[in-house]
Amino acid sequence: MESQYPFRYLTGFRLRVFRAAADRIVPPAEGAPGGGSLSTSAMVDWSLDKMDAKLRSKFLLLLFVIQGLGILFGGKFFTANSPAAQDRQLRWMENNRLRLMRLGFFGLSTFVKMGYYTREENFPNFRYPGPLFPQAPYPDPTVRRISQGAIRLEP
Amino acid sequence: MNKEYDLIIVGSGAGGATVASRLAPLAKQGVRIALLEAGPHFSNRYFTQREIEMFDLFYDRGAWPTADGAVTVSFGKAVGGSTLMYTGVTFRLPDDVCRQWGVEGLTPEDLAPRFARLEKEVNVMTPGPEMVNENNRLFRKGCEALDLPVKDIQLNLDGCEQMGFCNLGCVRHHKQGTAAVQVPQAVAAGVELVPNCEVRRIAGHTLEATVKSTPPGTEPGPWSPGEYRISARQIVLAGGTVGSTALLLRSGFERELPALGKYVTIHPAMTVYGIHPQKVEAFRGFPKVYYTDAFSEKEGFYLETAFYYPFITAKNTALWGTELTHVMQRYDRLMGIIILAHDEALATNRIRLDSKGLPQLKYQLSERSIEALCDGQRRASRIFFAAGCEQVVMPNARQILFGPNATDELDSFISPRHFLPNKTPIASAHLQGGCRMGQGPEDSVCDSRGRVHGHPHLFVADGSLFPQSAHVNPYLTIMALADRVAEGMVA
Repeated sequence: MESQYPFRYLTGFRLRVFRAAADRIVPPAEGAPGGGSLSTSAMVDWSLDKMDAKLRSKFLLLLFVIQGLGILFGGKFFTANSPAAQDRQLRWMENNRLRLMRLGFFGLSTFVKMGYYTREENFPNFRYPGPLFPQAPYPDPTVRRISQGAIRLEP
Repeated sequence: MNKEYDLIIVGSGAGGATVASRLAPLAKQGVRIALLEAGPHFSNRYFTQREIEMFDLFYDRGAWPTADGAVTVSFGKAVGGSTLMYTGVTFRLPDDVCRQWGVEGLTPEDLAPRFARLEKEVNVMTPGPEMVNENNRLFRKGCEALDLPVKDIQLNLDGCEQMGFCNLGCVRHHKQGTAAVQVPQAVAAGVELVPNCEVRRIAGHTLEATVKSTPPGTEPGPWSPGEYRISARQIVLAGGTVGSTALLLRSGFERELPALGKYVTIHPAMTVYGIHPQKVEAFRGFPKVYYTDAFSEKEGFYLETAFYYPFITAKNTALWGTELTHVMQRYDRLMGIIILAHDEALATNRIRLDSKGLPQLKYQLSERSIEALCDGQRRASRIFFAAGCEQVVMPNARQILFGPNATDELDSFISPRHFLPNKTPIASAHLQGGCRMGQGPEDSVCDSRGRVHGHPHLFVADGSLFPQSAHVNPYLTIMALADRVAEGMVA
């Protein structure tokens, strides 16, 4: 069984952009970690591998666009901007007149929510007791291990 | 590789499996029947009750978007089709809707005995008080406080243990979907079940198909992976609005059947939430036992109880930032209601193929549907507050998360003005139309018995036959139509 999970798609600046955005979409609260954890990113990276290659490329391109657009909202790349400037940028995307921009935000926030809210380690943070048959096996143990924090993550 | 059968059925969901079970006695007499399914054969041992893992059961992992990305469409790709992960909500096609459809020979009188027979077959029952979880109890309380009629949802269950994971596959097979009932019946009678078999094209009496390798953890089929040419005297397509329509489009039927792919309806849906001061734990127990049809006729929607798992819930809220964490930290206190709008059948809402021959759904929500969804949010807000909720989450409100003070101005507070495609989360799990029934090839694809116009050996038996929206959860109507198709074939 694998002892580490090597990131395949969310690497380098893309991982930094994703984590920064994820921390704004699901911010840390009352002792609970935010969406910007490495584990949430790993869940998303695992899912990207199951995705249609064309859509995956679009998502990765979106992260590049978000990083560059940061200049307009705080004078720096997205990852270097203040949380307030990052929120302004994400809000701008969410309500943009351009459908594509709104779609980009919707896709990003959906991925972040998926990565965060399907992680078993996070279940207690939102008072969800989880499955009734927690031991039921799944053919791909990697995602279960990421979800449970039982694998070393190698970004 | 070449194969030869008397009858091929493509798709094992509500339609295909019903045809297979109806014609199964013929298999005992030596008629060669194969039931081809594009998806894997998941046994109930596969179901782990975890969202991210069970996306496997769905087409495109449950996130198939409309061409503009504004609606997320979910349906099954598995032996059992969407009956594998539906909630078992059983409605007969309303008589007035059946008459509006105006399909010759398809009458409430024709359907009634079929519904009765099918309901018995799949054990349709009225849930007793022991099946009413807190979310449902509070929905009833809210409706009654507002003098709204509350009706029992009929369910097709046998020995339900109320674990609450219906939409991720039932671990115990208590839900009487086709993988539990009709498919085993058909297989026992000699129908050959072939999972992982994607049919690409039809040419005359021959199907071109690819059998993919068996995904880990699923049941293997009888055919080895590879390319197949399968000939049959009769062919029944039951791959649903997407599968059947795309197959006919890829096979060039659009030239002779201009209505092919058109008039698709989706039952646009929004799931909305209320935060209750007490624990609700809507994620346990049976998710839906009540509905109200008080707004069906004039305002164009049903309200049903509903609840989903954490990720889908977070997505449905349309919130992010501190408001999202505020709501999700109260996940165990959330009530849920789903708004199901009756959308119009428009020729412009259609299945088409992309450059690779893959299906796309071009669909635009009408102003009427948007108004119905907004009205549904206003009505649901009042129900939540009447049930005692402190706050509600309504994606088309001026402020998505709000308290009871806004109830006096709900008409302006929740408005189509706040509806923004690709921001407002709209979902669909009830695709209908695309191969609609009708009189002739000018404006329909099939006759009232599912026979494709001009092709006596080719039939459709699934939700794509619907000429308009069914207004209600469609599986029983699909089965009844499939029953008619099978009857017509035998005759």
